Amino acid sequence: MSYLGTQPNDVKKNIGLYTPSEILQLTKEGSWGGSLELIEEQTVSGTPSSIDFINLANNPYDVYFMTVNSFSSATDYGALSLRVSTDNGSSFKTTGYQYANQYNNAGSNGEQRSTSYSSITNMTPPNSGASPFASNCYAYLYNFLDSTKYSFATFQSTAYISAVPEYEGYFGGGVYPVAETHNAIRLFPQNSSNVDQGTIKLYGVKQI
Amino acid sequence: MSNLRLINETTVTSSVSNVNVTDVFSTDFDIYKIVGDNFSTASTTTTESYLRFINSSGSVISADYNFASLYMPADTGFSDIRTDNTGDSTKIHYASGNPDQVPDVAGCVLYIFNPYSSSSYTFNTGQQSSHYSNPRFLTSKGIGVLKQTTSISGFQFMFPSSDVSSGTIKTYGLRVDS
Repeated sequence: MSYLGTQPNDVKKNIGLYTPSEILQLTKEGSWGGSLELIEEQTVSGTPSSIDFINLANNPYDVYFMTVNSFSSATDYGALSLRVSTDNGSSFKTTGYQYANQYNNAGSNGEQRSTSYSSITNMTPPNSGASPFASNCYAYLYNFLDSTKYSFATFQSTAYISAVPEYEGYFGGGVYPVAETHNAIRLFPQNSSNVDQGTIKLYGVKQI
Repeated sequence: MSNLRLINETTVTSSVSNVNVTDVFSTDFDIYKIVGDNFSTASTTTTESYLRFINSSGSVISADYNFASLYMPADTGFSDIRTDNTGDSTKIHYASGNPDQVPDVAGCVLYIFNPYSSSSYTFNTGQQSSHYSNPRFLTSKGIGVLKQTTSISGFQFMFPSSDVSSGTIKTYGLRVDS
């Protein structure tokens, strides 16, 4: 592959220029770009009750990566929660989830878990209110489109809790233990209040 | 362009007790990201998964590991699994989570720090998620180190209690700009 300008080691660095034909060739080979592919970004506008990502099958990946920035609920103690859908977001499963997470805050730490819950919850601490009180997290989602496997998630978050106020971080995971295709996800505050703010980006982890 | 560089993708296609990923660490990168997905066993017997490193001569290293992890099952109290309460320094007690037969599968994300350096230890962090036959959902998070300055070029996922028949491991390097 030729370059315009200085010959770089582009395995390690992002320097040098490709010609349009080379970009086209690399794109066809699946080699163009990095290994996280942005599928969709949603920024909260107004005060919706939830944020849905639908049509996952249009961007099929074994593993998805999601970032949540400056999320908060309209009222106190609205931990970020996730539900799955089999009908592309027309409805979402409301029972049968399992989750487990460790919480660590400035004053204590401990465990939270359930084998029968209405969502994968506690993805973030139960923050609320506008900036600077907000929660941030990343999550990995596994096998959501695979009808033969359960859908798993792991997550880690960090926040400053308005109700205390206090710093708090969570890490953990969850599963919806039903082998079926989950083609949409819903994010919402666990306390059923509305979403006050937040930006969510959903990526696919690139496969060869 | 993101800062991840896909180096290797290894897929399990037959029943195996170990998965070796060799010749992936080099002078090109200091930090590596490993994404494991879809690990399941050939039988109904669930298995733990462990991590070991492979040196640049191709030998699997079986000593000098230290680790600490928090096991977080959804159905019962959490527990610390670490070198001093297992008495085991021959491996790191986490890798892909605990696979079982489909649809009970396991996945993980690991980061490996300075593996190829011959002047520093090889450190790692990991987070796993799995569901197995209790039925139990288990997530875990841990830290580990190989206390050798040997140059490391690969790694091994071990499945001691039951062979795995599916699974994919993707290894990435984190871009270096200096």
